[in-house]
Amino acid sequence: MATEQTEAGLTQNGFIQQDKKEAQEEGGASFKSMASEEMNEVYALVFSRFERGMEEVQQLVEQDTKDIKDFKSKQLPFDPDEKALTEMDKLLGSEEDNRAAFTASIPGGSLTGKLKDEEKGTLGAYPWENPAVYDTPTDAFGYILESIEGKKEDIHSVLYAGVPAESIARAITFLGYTEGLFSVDISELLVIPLMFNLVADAQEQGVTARIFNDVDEDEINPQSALDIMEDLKPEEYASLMEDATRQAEEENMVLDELKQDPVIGSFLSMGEQ
Amino acid sequence: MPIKVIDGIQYNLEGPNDRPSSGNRIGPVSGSTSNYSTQTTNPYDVDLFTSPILTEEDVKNLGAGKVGKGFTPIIESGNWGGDMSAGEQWAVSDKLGRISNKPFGKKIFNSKAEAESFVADLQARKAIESGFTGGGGGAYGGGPTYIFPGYNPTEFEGGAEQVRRAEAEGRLGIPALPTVPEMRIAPNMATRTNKELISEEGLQVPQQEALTAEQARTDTGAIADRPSDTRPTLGQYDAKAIDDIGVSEAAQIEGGPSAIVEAAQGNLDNKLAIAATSEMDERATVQFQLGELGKTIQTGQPLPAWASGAARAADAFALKRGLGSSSMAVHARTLALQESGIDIAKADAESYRRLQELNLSNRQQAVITNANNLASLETKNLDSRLSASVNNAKNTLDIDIGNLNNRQRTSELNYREFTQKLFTDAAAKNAEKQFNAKSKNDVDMFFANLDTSVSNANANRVEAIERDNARQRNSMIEFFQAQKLSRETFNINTSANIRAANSKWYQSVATIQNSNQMLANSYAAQSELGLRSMEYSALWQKRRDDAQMLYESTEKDLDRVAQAAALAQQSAIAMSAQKGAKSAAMMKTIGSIAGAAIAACWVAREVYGNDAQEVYRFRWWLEREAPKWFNRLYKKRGEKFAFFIKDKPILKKLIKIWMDTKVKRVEKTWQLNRLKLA
Repeated sequence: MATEQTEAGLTQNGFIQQDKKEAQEEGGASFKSMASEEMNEVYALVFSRFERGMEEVQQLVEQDTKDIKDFKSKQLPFDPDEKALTEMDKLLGSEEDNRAAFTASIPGGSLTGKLKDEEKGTLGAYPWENPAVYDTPTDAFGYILESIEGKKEDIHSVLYAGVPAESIARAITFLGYTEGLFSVDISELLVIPLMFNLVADAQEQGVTARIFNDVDEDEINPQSALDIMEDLKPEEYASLMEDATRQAEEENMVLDELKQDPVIGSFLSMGEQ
Repeated sequence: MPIKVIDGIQYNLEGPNDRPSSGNRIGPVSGSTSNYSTQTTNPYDVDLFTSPILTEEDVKNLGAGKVGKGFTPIIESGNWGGDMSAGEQWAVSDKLGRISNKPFGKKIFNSKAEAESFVADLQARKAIESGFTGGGGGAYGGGPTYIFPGYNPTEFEGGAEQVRRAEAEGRLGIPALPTVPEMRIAPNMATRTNKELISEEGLQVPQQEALTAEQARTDTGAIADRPSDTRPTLGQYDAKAIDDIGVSEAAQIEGGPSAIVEAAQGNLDNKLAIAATSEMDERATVQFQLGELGKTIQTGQPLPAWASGAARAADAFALKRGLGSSSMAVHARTLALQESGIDIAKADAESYRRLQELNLSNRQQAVITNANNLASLETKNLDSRLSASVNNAKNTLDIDIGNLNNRQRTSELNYREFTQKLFTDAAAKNAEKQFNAKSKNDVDMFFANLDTSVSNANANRVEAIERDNARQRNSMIEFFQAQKLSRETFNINTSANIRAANSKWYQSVATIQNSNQMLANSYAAQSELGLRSMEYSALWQKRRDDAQMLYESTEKDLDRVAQAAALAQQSAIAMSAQKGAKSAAMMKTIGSIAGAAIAACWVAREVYGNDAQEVYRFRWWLEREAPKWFNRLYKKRGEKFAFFIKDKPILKKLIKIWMDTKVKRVEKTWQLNRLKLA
């Protein structure tokens, strides 16, 4: 029996109205667990590809997280030599390519989108506004795996080049949704399993793939601890800052003295002597 | 009162007994040996009275020049505009634009002033066509001078008499402005249809359907009242078009005859190449544009909107100084008209020059042209949507696209085209239906928020690009964060609209077969992603915005998949993708992998076209109802088969007939499911 939806009806499930009673009577099992069980099937399929199962997946995640943090911490202050970069651009003939700034959609833009029937206000002009081809996560995942079968070499190449698996997984699931293959829900649900499936594929080919695009910053780091200290222990913070400033000044003084009274002359001055 | 010419000198004789003398001497006849009177000074530096100011078509329309014999010309130097008495009938007597109080021809004026005004407009047209750029004083025909509200007749000599005459001739108050009908497209310039500022063909449209003044006022109410705003810039438009600012697919450019042919065929790639030319288009000259503007002054019609505002302003000014009927007023009026034309012509010429220099595609030119047209409007009397549209147009023009590289320029203009579409008349109607707006206020509120969204996006993007150009770290990440914040604000302000729209969307994708599963998926998504109700609603909305932008803002498949890849990442971009976020090449690679994997409906795409709805219906059939063997065969051999039928139209047609049956079947199934669900 279909679940009834009304435009005005808003429940805890957002904009989707559901008659819980009816659903429970008809379906027996709770709706809440139905798709989650299917997702478990998908996860089981993916994680079974790792020899040591979840333990290995956990290790890969930890390693990737660490790599990302290391990468970030090793980034030097960005102070490019403009002239050198410009020369390099000329040599390589490269143009600044910051078109990523054009890939942010306009909030609410879709509400002005075309209608299938303008008089009746019926949706359906775009693929994602029509019933999806695949309703269940398992069917959708099966389709994706089947469809990328012929593209594996390309995928391994970009994974090898350092493109994170998450980037590829997100692109595939998002495109599937825009093509009307599955719903927004499924496209979001399948990102993680697909990502690890790509990692498993890469491992089979001897490629260590990067997993995530990014990781969240640690909530507590030296800078954030100092910020907290500034609020909660302002005196100690001031004292600490004073020490740091004094130390820096002393170092600068030593450097200045060295500059004014060079211990070792240059090769040229030595030659003159 | 007859004019007598003796030895090339004109005399104004008061009656049959009056004789030529220094007292009634007017001056020498210039340029004409006929016994018609002529003007002695010429403010236009153009010989107006010895060469025709009426075209052959004008003559035909007016019936002028047919009553020559025995006709007594009435033009008297320095006496134009002097006789406002009602009850007389006047007509234009010849191609030179002289008028007579012996009615003849098709066009009869009820007062001398009307006839004079008519001729003055023709003179102005001729002056513009001749490239007039200003001149000295002189006595020329004046148009009907209106007594505006607020005019105090006691302040001026003869003021009371002027009011009396104006009342008798219906010139009291602000004149109705029947200006729109004659707003015609200048030949060879960009044109538009009802739904577009610039027509899709955009090529050599010699005439454009005129709108009635009523139509012009219907939608905006404000446009017709500000004729000076509605200048016929690149591609004339009318007031209705402002409400229908559908964005054109292509504008015109004349890069030579072949370019026109290519443009008409809609082949953008070829057009770009062919449009590249080092020769200056004649449309980039002020002279050409002045000539084109002159043509918009139509015989037998009131002044065009762009000219009448300036003319009225000059009239009002002269009237206030008690000069309403004088030749000075006439000259001031004409001069103002000329000057307004020059500004427009200069702007148009400059726009063409810039467009030509940039070698933009026709579609890209249309974006700029539309922005040019919209940006000249004042927003004070417009509703929030039109106001947003004008703001967006101004914003578009603020970007110096000349400073962008080719890739950036293409992206920028595609993006601008997309944002222009958000505020069209069609967009408003769609929005109204999408979230079931109950009143105009609902729609206004929505567009006010959308305006903010677009403005924020523009500002964020410009800043990001500037920072990125300056090689500042994390510029793109911060851009996405700024956009996220903008989205959150929008979501809060329009949460009711979003929920209503999502609900409608949900209903359109849920069928009797899948509704339970969709609900289950919804629970799972919220649970796995840890989303609260409002966040979940916002996720759906965002994904819909993303998808719509993807489909509406990209013209090529490869760009589309690259953009899809980038859209899919968004705020998740960082680390290795920090550099990658900037790299369109990387996104293109990811996108092409994803695209090739997902968009595997080759034959249907070949038969119906890439974006056709039928493709999705056929795929639905393929996955749900087709025999297993066919499904496997299609996936295995489909790509090669699609390539095979590429150049075989008959075979394609046959396959289409077969596919149509499947598509219709799917449509019926969906319809049935929805009915059951309802």
